Amino acid sequence: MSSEALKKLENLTRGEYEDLYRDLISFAEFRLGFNSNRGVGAEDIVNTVFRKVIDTERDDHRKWDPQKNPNFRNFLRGCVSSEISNHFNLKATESRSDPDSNPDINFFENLESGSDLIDEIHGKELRDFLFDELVEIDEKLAEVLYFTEEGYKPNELVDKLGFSDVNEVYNIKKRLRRACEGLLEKFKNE
Amino acid sequence: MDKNSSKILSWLGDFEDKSERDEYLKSKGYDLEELDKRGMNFLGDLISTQKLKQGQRHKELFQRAKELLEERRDEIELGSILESINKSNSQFAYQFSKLEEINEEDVLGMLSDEQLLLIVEELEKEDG
Repeated sequence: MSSEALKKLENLTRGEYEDLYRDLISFAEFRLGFNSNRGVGAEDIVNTVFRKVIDTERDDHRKWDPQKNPNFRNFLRGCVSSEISNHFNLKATESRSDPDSNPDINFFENLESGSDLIDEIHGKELRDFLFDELVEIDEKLAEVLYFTEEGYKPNELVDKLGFSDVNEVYNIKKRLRRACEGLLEKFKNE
Repeated sequence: MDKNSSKILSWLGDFEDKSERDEYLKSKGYDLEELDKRGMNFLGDLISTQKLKQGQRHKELFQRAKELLEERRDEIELGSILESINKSNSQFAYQFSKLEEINEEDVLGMLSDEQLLLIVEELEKEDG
């Protein structure tokens, strides 16, 4: 049976699909970067997600419902997140309810698991470690991260933190990303 | 990993700036042209495979509907099944009000997988 996702993909231009593919690969690559023992590539993860989304006959099919989740890209990113989590937490996933059972699950709701991810660094959770390090670099970075965690959207941060426009938030996000990458390098070299 | 760490990493993994995204991919060793090519090939293969599967599925549904109609020719007609489905699916009514002259096989041949499945289900339900 034809899925909405298949129709959507068939209607994308070559350029649109390449852009989507690059987005998903970079997203998976960034998430996987924080895993101490990956054993899987970003392309493997993304391709598995496409197979699950397109093949309606699979038991683990992920159905895209454009009414409930109009943004196809966000839907796929959510699938990539849960695919990564499932990959690193297979045993735990088997013993609890299957996150794939609700394919329309919120983008962040499937992100808790990941037993093989860097859970603790020097006795702290990754999140706390990041905050402590970021405050050292620039308090603004920690501030943006804190309010994002609280659910603020980039345009809401503009008012909240007195930025001139949303690009300032995106620039801070770039710095945050680089800071995280820097921290990763630091762990690897320790 | 705690939920907040995952949320942070997912937020940061979403690149608004395409050139920054591409630079990031390059820094991770990706050749972008090759990546595009692999992505396109993968999608092309995936869509073809899925289409083949769908074609096979359509054929099976068509055949099943035809067989069931044949088996139950004395008890039931395609028209009455369509009428029964019409009640819950207005598309059927619109489609077939103008196609009364067409033979059964041609009618089945015009249906989508979803419609054929409804007919098969209806025939199997009444059969059971």
